[in-house]
Amino acid sequence: MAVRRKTCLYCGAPVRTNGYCTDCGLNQAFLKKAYNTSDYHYNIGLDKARVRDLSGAIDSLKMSLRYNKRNVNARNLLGLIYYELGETVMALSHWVMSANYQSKGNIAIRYLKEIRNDPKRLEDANQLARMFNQALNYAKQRDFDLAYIQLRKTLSLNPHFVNGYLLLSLLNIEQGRLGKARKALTKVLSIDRTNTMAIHLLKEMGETEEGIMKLRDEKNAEPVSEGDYYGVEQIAEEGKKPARKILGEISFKKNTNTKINRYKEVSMARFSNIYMLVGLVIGVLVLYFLVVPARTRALSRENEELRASYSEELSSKNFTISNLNDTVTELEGRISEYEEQISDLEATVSSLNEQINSLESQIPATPDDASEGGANNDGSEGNSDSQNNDGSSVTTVAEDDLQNMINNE
Amino acid sequence: MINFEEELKRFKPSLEVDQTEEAIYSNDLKDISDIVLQMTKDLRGIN
Repeated sequence: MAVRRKTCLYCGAPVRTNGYCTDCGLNQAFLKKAYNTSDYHYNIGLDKARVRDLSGAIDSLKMSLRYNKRNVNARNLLGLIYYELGETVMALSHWVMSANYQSKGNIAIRYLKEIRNDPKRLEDANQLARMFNQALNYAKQRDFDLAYIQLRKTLSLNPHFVNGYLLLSLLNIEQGRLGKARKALTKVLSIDRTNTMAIHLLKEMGETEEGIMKLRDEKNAEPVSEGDYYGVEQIAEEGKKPARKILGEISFKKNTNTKINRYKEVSMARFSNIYMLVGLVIGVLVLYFLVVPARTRALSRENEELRASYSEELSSKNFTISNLNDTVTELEGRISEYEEQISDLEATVSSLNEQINSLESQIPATPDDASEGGANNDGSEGNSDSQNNDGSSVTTVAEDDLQNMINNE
Repeated sequence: MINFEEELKRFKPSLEVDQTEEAIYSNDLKDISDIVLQMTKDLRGIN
Protein backbone atom coordinates (compact mmCIF):
# COMPACT_ATOMS: atom_id res chain seq x y z
CA MET A 1 0.00 0.00 0.00
CA ALA A 2 1.43 3.40 -1.04
CA VAL A 3 2.22 5.89 1.68
CA ARG A 4 0.30 9.08 1.23
CA ARG A 5 2.34 12.26 1.49
CA LYS A 6 1.12 14.78 3.96
CA THR A 7 2.77 17.79 2.37
CA CYS A 8 2.91 18.81 -1.28
CA LEU A 9 6.13 18.13 -3.15
CA TYR A 10 5.77 21.37 -5.08
CA CYS A 11 4.60 23.99 -2.57
CA GLY A 12 4.72 22.25 0.80
CA ALA A 13 1.06 22.79 1.52
CA PRO A 14 -1.09 20.02 3.05
CA VAL A 15 -2.29 17.32 0.71
CA ARG A 16 -5.78 15.98 0.54
CA THR A 17 -6.53 12.28 0.83
CA ASN A 18 -7.17 12.08 -2.88
CA GLY A 19 -3.60 13.11 -3.41
CA TYR A 20 -4.16 16.63 -4.61
CA CYS A 21 -2.56 19.64 -2.97
CA THR A 22 -4.84 21.96 -1.11
CA ASP A 23 -2.93 25.03 -2.38
CA CYS A 24 -1.53 24.46 -5.85
CA GLY A 25 -3.88 21.66 -6.73
CA LEU A 26 -1.22 19.48 -8.26
CA ASN A 27 -1.48 15.72 -8.09
CA GLN A 28 1.28 14.29 -5.95
CA ALA A 29 1.60 11.15 -8.08
CA PHE A 30 2.21 13.35 -11.09
CA LEU A 31 4.84 15.35 -9.22
CA LYS A 32 6.52 12.18 -8.06
CA LYS A 33 6.71 10.89 -11.60
CA ALA A 34 8.15 14.18 -12.80
CA TYR A 35 10.78 14.21 -10.12
CA ASN A 36 11.73 10.60 -10.82
CA THR A 37 12.13 11.39 -14.49
CA SER A 38 14.28 14.32 -13.53
CA ASP A 39 16.51 12.07 -11.45
CA TYR A 40 16.64 9.55 -14.29
CA HIS A 41 17.93 12.14 -16.69
CA TYR A 42 20.31 13.43 -14.06
CA ASN A 43 21.83 9.96 -13.71
CA ILE A 44 22.27 9.70 -17.44
CA GLY A 45 23.90 13.13 -17.45
CA LEU A 46 26.23 12.09 -14.65
CA ASP A 47 27.30 8.96 -16.51
CA LYS A 48 27.96 10.95 -19.64
CA ALA A 49 29.94 13.55 -17.72
CA ARG A 50 32.09 10.81 -16.24
CA VAL A 51 33.13 9.63 -19.71
CA ARG A 52 33.63 13.18 -20.92
CA ASP A 53 30.59 13.22 -23.10
CA LEU A 54 29.97 16.78 -21.99
CA SER A 55 27.61 17.80 -24.77
CA GLY A 56 25.45 14.75 -24.06
CA ALA A 57 25.62 15.44 -20.34
CA ILE A 58 24.44 19.01 -20.89
CA ASP A 59 21.43 17.82 -22.88
CA SER A 60 20.53 15.23 -20.26
CA LEU A 61 20.88 17.65 -17.39
CA LYS A 62 18.79 20.28 -19.15
CA MET A 63 16.12 17.65 -19.63
CA SER A 64 16.38 16.76 -15.95
CA LEU A 65 15.81 20.39 -15.02
CA ARG A 66 12.77 20.56 -17.27
CA TYR A 67 11.14 17.92 -15.13
CA ASN A 68 12.31 19.44 -11.86
CA LYS A 69 13.86 22.86 -11.78
CA ARG A 70 14.69 22.36 -8.14
CA ASN A 71 16.98 19.40 -8.81
CA VAL A 72 20.05 21.00 -7.27
CA ASN A 73 22.27 18.04 -8.13
CA ALA A 74 21.49 18.39 -11.81
CA ARG A 75 21.96 22.15 -11.65
CA ASN A 76 25.27 21.86 -9.84
CA LEU A 77 26.58 19.31 -12.32
CA LEU A 78 25.44 21.44 -15.22
CA GLY A 79 27.30 24.41 -13.76
CA LEU A 80 30.37 22.28 -13.35
CA ILE A 81 30.25 21.17 -16.95
CA TYR A 82 29.88 24.74 -18.18
CA TYR A 83 32.86 25.70 -16.01
CA GLU A 84 34.90 22.90 -17.56
CA LEU A 85 34.01 24.15 -21.05
CA GLY A 86 35.15 27.66 -20.16
CA GLU A 87 31.69 29.22 -19.83
CA THR A 88 32.21 30.62 -16.36
CA VAL A 89 29.23 32.97 -16.34
CA MET A 90 26.83 30.16 -17.26
CA ALA A 91 28.33 28.08 -14.48
CA LEU A 92 27.92 30.91 -12.00
CA SER A 93 24.30 31.50 -12.94
CA HIS A 94 23.38 27.84 -12.37
CA TRP A 95 25.22 27.69 -9.07
CA VAL A 96 23.52 30.85 -7.87
CA MET A 97 20.09 29.43 -8.72
CA SER A 98 21.00 26.17 -7.02
CA ALA A 99 22.09 28.01 -3.88
CA ASN A 100 18.83 29.91 -3.98
CA TYR A 101 16.77 26.71 -3.99
CA GLN A 102 18.84 25.03 -1.31
CA SER A 103 21.06 27.08 0.95
CA LYS A 104 22.21 24.31 3.26
CA GLY A 105 24.31 21.30 2.38
CA ASN A 106 24.74 22.51 -1.19
CA ILE A 107 28.08 22.12 -2.93
CA ALA A 108 27.26 25.06 -5.19
CA ILE A 109 27.90 27.36 -2.24
CA ARG A 110 31.42 25.98 -1.96
CA TYR A 111 32.01 26.59 -5.68
CA LEU A 112 30.75 30.15 -5.40
CA LYS A 113 32.94 30.82 -2.36
CA GLU A 114 36.01 29.55 -4.18
CA ILE A 115 35.40 31.81 -7.13
CA ARG A 116 34.60 34.79 -4.92
CA ASN A 117 37.85 34.29 -2.97
CA ASP A 118 39.87 34.38 -6.17
CA PRO A 119 39.04 37.65 -7.94
CA LYS A 120 41.67 36.96 -10.57
CA ARG A 121 39.67 34.03 -11.81
CA LEU A 122 36.63 36.20 -12.34
CA GLU A 123 38.74 38.80 -14.07
CA ASP A 124 40.23 36.11 -16.31
CA ALA A 125 36.77 34.82 -17.14
CA ASN A 126 35.65 38.32 -18.02
CA GLN A 127 38.68 38.92 -20.18
CA LEU A 128 38.23 35.57 -21.88
CA ALA A 129 34.65 36.36 -22.80
CA ARG A 130 35.63 39.78 -24.11
CA MET A 131 38.48 38.45 -26.20
CA PHE A 132 36.38 35.65 -27.64
CA ASN A 133 33.61 38.05 -28.59
CA GLN A 134 36.20 40.31 -30.19
CA ALA A 135 37.60 37.35 -32.13
CA LEU A 136 34.09 36.46 -33.26
CA ASN A 137 33.59 39.99 -34.55
CA TYR A 138 36.88 39.90 -36.40
CA ALA A 139 35.94 36.55 -37.92
CA LYS A 140 32.64 38.02 -39.13
CA GLN A 141 34.59 40.89 -40.69
CA ARG A 142 37.01 38.32 -42.17
CA ASP A 143 39.97 39.86 -40.30
CA PHE A 144 41.52 36.47 -39.74
CA ASP A 145 44.87 37.65 -38.40
CA LEU A 146 43.28 39.75 -35.70
CA ALA A 147 40.90 36.94 -34.86
CA TYR A 148 43.88 34.58 -34.49
CA ILE A 149 45.59 36.95 -32.10
CA GLN A 150 42.52 37.23 -29.90
CA LEU A 151 41.95 33.48 -29.95
CA ARG A 152 45.56 32.81 -29.04
CA LYS A 153 45.21 35.00 -25.99
CA THR A 154 41.88 33.41 -25.12
CA LEU A 155 43.20 29.87 -25.30
CA SER A 156 46.29 30.69 -23.29
CA LEU A 157 43.99 32.11 -20.61
CA ASN A 158 41.87 28.98 -20.53
CA PRO A 159 43.13 25.88 -22.37
CA HIS A 160 39.72 24.22 -21.98
CA PHE A 161 37.75 26.85 -23.79
CA VAL A 162 35.97 24.68 -26.35
CA ASN A 163 34.30 27.47 -28.28
CA GLY A 164 37.69 29.06 -28.82
CA TYR A 165 39.07 25.90 -30.39
CA LEU A 166 35.98 25.47 -32.51
CA LEU A 167 36.24 29.00 -33.88
CA LEU A 168 39.94 28.53 -34.46
CA SER A 169 39.34 25.33 -36.41
CA LEU A 170 36.68 27.06 -38.49
CA LEU A 171 39.07 29.86 -39.38
CA ASN A 172 41.76 27.34 -40.29
CA ILE A 173 39.34 25.42 -42.49
CA GLU A 174 38.34 28.64 -44.22
CA GLN A 175 41.99 29.40 -44.90
CA GLY A 176 42.74 25.88 -46.08
CA ARG A 177 44.87 24.92 -43.08
CA LEU A 178 43.23 21.57 -42.55
CA GLY A 179 46.06 20.12 -40.46
CA LYS A 180 45.79 22.87 -37.89
CA ALA A 181 42.01 22.64 -37.94
CA ARG A 182 42.18 18.93 -37.28
CA LYS A 183 44.54 19.55 -34.38
CA ALA A 184 42.19 22.05 -32.80
CA LEU A 185 39.21 19.73 -33.25
CA THR A 186 41.18 16.87 -31.72
CA LYS A 187 41.72 19.08 -28.72
CA VAL A 188 37.98 19.76 -28.54
CA LEU A 189 37.22 16.04 -28.64
CA SER A 190 39.70 15.41 -25.86
CA ILE A 191 37.68 17.78 -23.67
CA ASP A 192 34.22 16.95 -24.98
CA ARG A 193 34.12 13.60 -26.73
CA THR A 194 30.85 14.11 -28.54
CA ASN A 195 30.99 17.79 -29.32
CA THR A 196 28.49 18.13 -32.14
CA MET A 197 30.19 20.93 -33.99
CA ALA A 198 33.60 19.28 -33.83
CA ILE A 199 32.27 16.02 -35.24
CA HIS A 200 30.33 17.91 -37.90
CA LEU A 201 33.43 19.86 -39.00
CA LEU A 202 35.58 16.73 -39.06
CA LYS A 203 33.03 14.97 -41.24
CA GLU A 204 32.97 17.93 -43.59
CA MET A 205 36.75 17.74 -43.76
CA GLY A 206 36.42 14.15 -44.91
CA GLU A 207 37.10 12.25 -41.74
CA THR A 208 35.41 8.90 -41.37
CA GLU A 209 33.62 7.68 -38.28
CA GLU A 210 36.54 5.45 -37.48
CA GLY A 211 38.92 8.33 -37.92
CA ILE A 212 36.87 10.48 -35.61
CA MET A 213 36.78 7.75 -32.99
CA LYS A 214 40.54 7.38 -33.27
CA LEU A 215 40.99 11.11 -32.78
CA ARG A 216 38.68 10.97 -29.82
CA ASP A 217 40.61 8.15 -28.27
CA GLU A 218 43.99 9.72 -28.91
CA LYS A 219 45.75 9.77 -25.60
CA ASN A 220 48.82 11.63 -26.77
CA ALA A 221 46.93 14.53 -28.22
CA GLU A 222 49.52 17.19 -29.00
CA PRO A 223 48.77 20.50 -27.39
CA VAL A 224 47.93 23.26 -29.79
CA SER A 225 51.09 25.34 -29.69
CA GLU A 226 51.69 28.95 -30.55
CA GLY A 227 53.25 28.21 -33.89
CA ASP A 228 50.19 26.39 -35.05
CA TYR A 229 48.01 29.43 -35.00
CA TYR A 230 49.67 31.07 -37.92
CA GLY A 231 52.85 31.09 -39.87
CA VAL A 232 54.42 27.74 -40.32
CA GLU A 233 52.27 25.45 -42.38
CA GLN A 234 53.67 21.99 -42.68
CA ILE A 235 53.84 20.79 -46.21
CA ALA A 236 51.57 17.79 -46.45
CA GLU A 237 49.73 16.04 -49.16
CA GLU A 238 46.07 16.69 -49.45
CA GLY A 239 44.05 14.57 -47.07
CA LYS A 240 47.09 13.21 -45.21
CA LYS A 241 48.31 14.25 -41.84
CA PRO A 242 51.60 16.10 -41.70
CA ALA A 243 54.57 14.10 -40.41
CA ARG A 244 54.69 13.94 -36.65
CA LYS A 245 57.73 14.83 -34.65
CA ILE A 246 59.58 11.93 -33.14
CA LEU A 247 59.05 12.27 -29.43
CA GLY A 248 59.82 10.03 -26.53
CA GLU A 249 57.00 8.04 -25.05
CA ILE A 250 54.81 10.12 -22.88
CA SER A 251 52.44 8.43 -20.51
CA PHE A 252 49.20 10.15 -19.64
CA LYS A 253 46.82 9.34 -16.92
CA LYS A 254 43.33 8.58 -17.98
CA ASN A 255 41.16 11.58 -18.73
CA THR A 256 43.84 14.14 -18.12
CA ASN A 257 44.27 17.01 -20.50
CA THR A 258 47.54 18.41 -21.69
CA LYS A 259 48.20 21.81 -20.28
CA ILE A 260 49.21 24.78 -22.29
CA ASN A 261 51.45 27.27 -20.56
CA ARG A 262 49.85 30.50 -19.63
CA TYR A 263 50.24 33.21 -22.18
CA LYS A 264 52.43 35.85 -20.74
CA GLU A 265 53.15 39.10 -22.36
CA VAL A 266 56.91 39.32 -22.28
CA SER A 267 57.40 41.95 -19.74
CA MET A 268 60.21 44.27 -20.77
CA ALA A 269 59.86 46.12 -17.55
CA ARG A 270 62.08 43.75 -15.57
CA PHE A 271 64.96 44.27 -17.99
CA SER A 272 64.57 48.02 -18.03
CA ASN A 273 67.20 48.51 -15.31
CA ILE A 274 69.73 46.46 -17.23
CA TYR A 275 68.93 48.31 -20.45
CA MET A 276 69.43 51.60 -18.63
CA LEU A 277 72.80 50.56 -17.23
CA VAL A 278 73.97 49.29 -20.59
CA GLY A 279 72.86 52.52 -22.20
CA LEU A 280 74.74 54.56 -19.60
CA VAL A 281 77.91 52.53 -20.09
CA ILE A 282 77.69 52.92 -23.87
CA GLY A 283 77.12 56.64 -23.46
CA VAL A 284 80.15 57.00 -21.19
CA LEU A 285 82.32 55.01 -23.61
CA VAL A 286 81.20 57.12 -26.58
CA LEU A 287 81.93 60.24 -24.57
CA TYR A 288 85.35 59.02 -23.56
CA PHE A 289 86.51 57.80 -26.94
CA LEU A 290 84.85 60.22 -29.31
CA VAL A 291 83.81 63.45 -27.70
CA VAL A 292 86.62 64.07 -25.18
CA PRO A 293 89.63 63.70 -27.58
CA ALA A 294 88.08 66.08 -30.10
CA ARG A 295 87.44 68.59 -27.38
CA THR A 296 90.97 68.15 -26.05
CA ARG A 297 92.42 68.70 -29.49
CA ALA A 298 90.43 71.85 -29.98
CA LEU A 299 91.48 73.19 -26.59
CA SER A 300 95.17 72.40 -27.18
CA ARG A 301 94.96 74.14 -30.57
CA GLU A 302 93.54 77.22 -28.90
CA ASN A 303 96.29 77.08 -26.30
CA GLU A 304 98.96 76.90 -28.96
CA GLU A 305 97.55 79.89 -30.79
CA LEU A 306 97.34 81.85 -27.58
CA ARG A 307 100.86 80.94 -26.66
CA ALA A 308 102.13 82.00 -30.09
CA SER A 309 100.43 85.36 -29.84
CA TYR A 310 101.75 85.92 -26.32
CA SER A 311 105.30 84.98 -27.29
CA GLU A 312 105.11 87.33 -30.27
CA GLU A 313 103.95 90.15 -28.07
CA LEU A 314 106.62 89.28 -25.54
CA SER A 315 109.39 89.36 -28.10
CA SER A 316 108.24 92.73 -29.44
CA LYS A 317 108.12 94.08 -25.93
CA ASN A 318 111.58 92.72 -25.25
CA PHE A 319 112.83 94.40 -28.37
CA THR A 320 111.36 97.67 -27.28
CA ILE A 321 112.86 97.28 -23.84
CA SER A 322 116.30 96.59 -25.24
CA ASN A 323 115.98 99.64 -27.48
CA LEU A 324 115.02 101.76 -24.57
CA ASN A 325 117.85 100.36 -22.54
CA ASP A 326 120.27 101.34 -25.26
CA THR A 327 118.78 104.79 -25.33
CA VAL A 328 119.14 105.04 -21.61
CA THR A 329 122.73 103.97 -21.77
CA GLU A 330 123.41 106.47 -24.48
CA LEU A 331 121.78 109.24 -22.57
CA GLU A 332 123.63 108.29 -19.43
CA GLY A 333 126.81 108.49 -21.41
CA ARG A 334 125.90 111.94 -22.66
CA ILE A 335 124.99 113.00 -19.18
CA SER A 336 128.38 111.95 -17.90
CA GLU A 337 130.02 113.76 -20.77
CA TYR A 338 128.07 116.86 -20.01
CA GLU A 339 128.96 116.58 -16.38
CA GLU A 340 132.58 116.40 -17.30
CA GLN A 341 132.21 119.38 -19.49
CA ILE A 342 130.48 121.19 -16.72
CA SER A 343 133.23 120.38 -14.31
CA ASP A 344 135.81 121.49 -16.89
CA LEU A 345 133.95 124.69 -17.43
CA GLU A 346 133.69 125.26 -13.74
CA ALA A 347 137.37 124.75 -13.43
CA THR A 348 137.89 127.23 -16.26
CA VAL A 349 135.57 129.70 -14.60
CA SER A 350 137.38 129.40 -11.34
CA SER A 351 140.70 129.84 -13.06
CA LEU A 352 139.38 132.83 -14.92
CA ASN A 353 138.04 134.24 -11.71
CA GLU A 354 141.43 133.85 -10.22
CA GLN A 355 142.90 135.59 -13.20
CA ILE A 356 140.43 138.36 -12.80
CA ASN A 357 141.26 138.69 -9.19
CA SER A 358 144.89 138.75 -9.94
CA LEU A 359 144.40 141.29 -12.67
CA GLU A 360 142.31 143.42 -10.46
CA SER A 361 144.96 143.38 -7.86
CA GLN A 362 147.51 144.51 -10.39
CA ILE A 363 145.59 147.65 -11.31
CA PRO A 364 147.73 150.50 -10.06
CA ALA A 365 145.99 153.09 -7.89
CA THR A 366 146.42 157.07 -8.39
CA PRO A 367 148.07 158.99 -5.61
CA ASP A 368 144.90 160.83 -4.57
CA ASP A 369 143.03 158.00 -5.03
CA ALA A 370 145.70 155.98 -3.49
CA SER A 371 145.54 158.01 -0.30
CA GLU A 372 141.87 158.17 -0.28
CA GLY A 373 141.92 154.89 -1.49
CA GLY A 374 144.06 153.98 1.39
CA ALA A 375 141.55 155.57 3.71
CA ASN A 376 138.67 154.18 1.89
CA ASN A 377 140.05 150.81 1.24
CA ASP A 378 138.25 149.60 4.19
CA GLY A 379 135.09 149.47 2.36
CA SER A 380 134.19 151.89 -0.23
CA GLU A 381 132.88 150.91 -3.48
CA GLY A 382 132.83 154.27 -5.05
CA ASN A 383 136.45 154.34 -5.63
CA SER A 384 136.16 152.94 -9.00
CA ASP A 385 134.22 155.91 -10.27
CA SER A 386 136.80 158.35 -9.02
CA GLN A 387 139.37 156.14 -10.43
CA ASN A 388 137.59 155.99 -13.72
CA ASN A 389 137.24 159.74 -13.86
CA ASP A 390 140.87 160.14 -13.55
CA GLY A 391 142.04 156.88 -14.99
CA SER A 392 142.73 157.71 -18.50
CA SER A 393 145.93 156.04 -17.99
CA VAL A 394 144.48 152.86 -16.48
CA THR A 395 142.51 150.39 -18.68
CA THR A 396 139.72 148.96 -16.66
CA VAL A 397 137.86 145.84 -17.64
CA ALA A 398 134.16 145.88 -17.16
CA GLU A 399 132.52 142.91 -15.46
CA ASP A 400 130.27 142.24 -18.43
CA ASP A 401 133.23 141.96 -20.71
CA LEU A 402 134.87 139.60 -18.30
CA GLN A 403 131.79 137.41 -18.23
CA ASN A 404 131.64 137.38 -22.03
CA MET A 405 135.24 136.31 -22.18
CA ILE A 406 134.60 133.45 -19.81
CA ASN A 407 131.53 132.30 -21.83
CA ASN A 408 133.53 132.42 -25.03
CA GLU A 409 136.13 130.25 -23.34
CA MET B 1 31.22 21.66 -48.08
CA ILE B 2 31.56 23.92 -45.06
CA ASN B 3 29.88 27.27 -45.38
CA PHE B 4 31.92 29.59 -43.22
CA GLU B 5 29.19 32.16 -42.70
CA GLU B 6 26.59 29.56 -41.82
CA GLU B 7 28.90 27.82 -39.36
CA LEU B 8 29.88 31.15 -37.86
CA LYS B 9 26.24 31.90 -37.10
CA ARG B 10 26.16 28.94 -34.74
CA PHE B 11 28.64 30.69 -32.46
CA LYS B 12 27.02 32.73 -29.75
CA PRO B 13 28.92 35.43 -27.86
CA SER B 14 30.31 34.44 -24.48
CA LEU B 15 28.74 36.08 -21.48
CA GLU B 16 30.78 38.48 -19.41
CA VAL B 17 30.70 38.51 -15.62
CA ASP B 18 28.54 41.61 -15.39
CA GLN B 19 25.96 39.82 -17.50
CA THR B 20 25.49 37.11 -14.85
CA GLU B 21 22.47 38.78 -13.28
CA GLU B 22 20.81 39.15 -16.64
CA ALA B 23 21.58 35.51 -17.43
CA ILE B 24 19.96 34.37 -14.18
CA TYR B 25 16.81 36.38 -14.73
CA SER B 26 16.48 35.40 -18.34
CA ASN B 27 16.90 31.73 -17.55
CA ASP B 28 13.73 29.77 -18.22
CA LEU B 29 12.92 28.57 -14.74
CA LYS B 30 9.75 26.80 -15.68
CA ASP B 31 9.65 23.08 -15.30
CA ILE B 32 6.84 20.67 -16.14
CA SER B 33 5.14 21.28 -12.83
CA ASP B 34 4.87 24.99 -13.57
CA ILE B 35 3.49 24.24 -17.01
CA VAL B 36 0.85 21.87 -15.63
CA LEU B 37 -0.04 24.39 -12.95
CA GLN B 38 -0.45 27.07 -15.55
CA MET B 39 -2.62 24.77 -17.61
CA THR B 40 -4.73 23.97 -14.58
CA LYS B 41 -5.20 27.65 -13.81
CA ASP B 42 -6.09 28.37 -17.40
CA LEU B 43 -8.66 25.58 -17.34
CA ARG B 44 -10.13 26.84 -14.12
CA GLY B 45 -10.25 30.28 -15.57
CA ILE B 46 -12.09 29.06 -18.60
CA ASN B 47 -14.48 27.12 -16.50
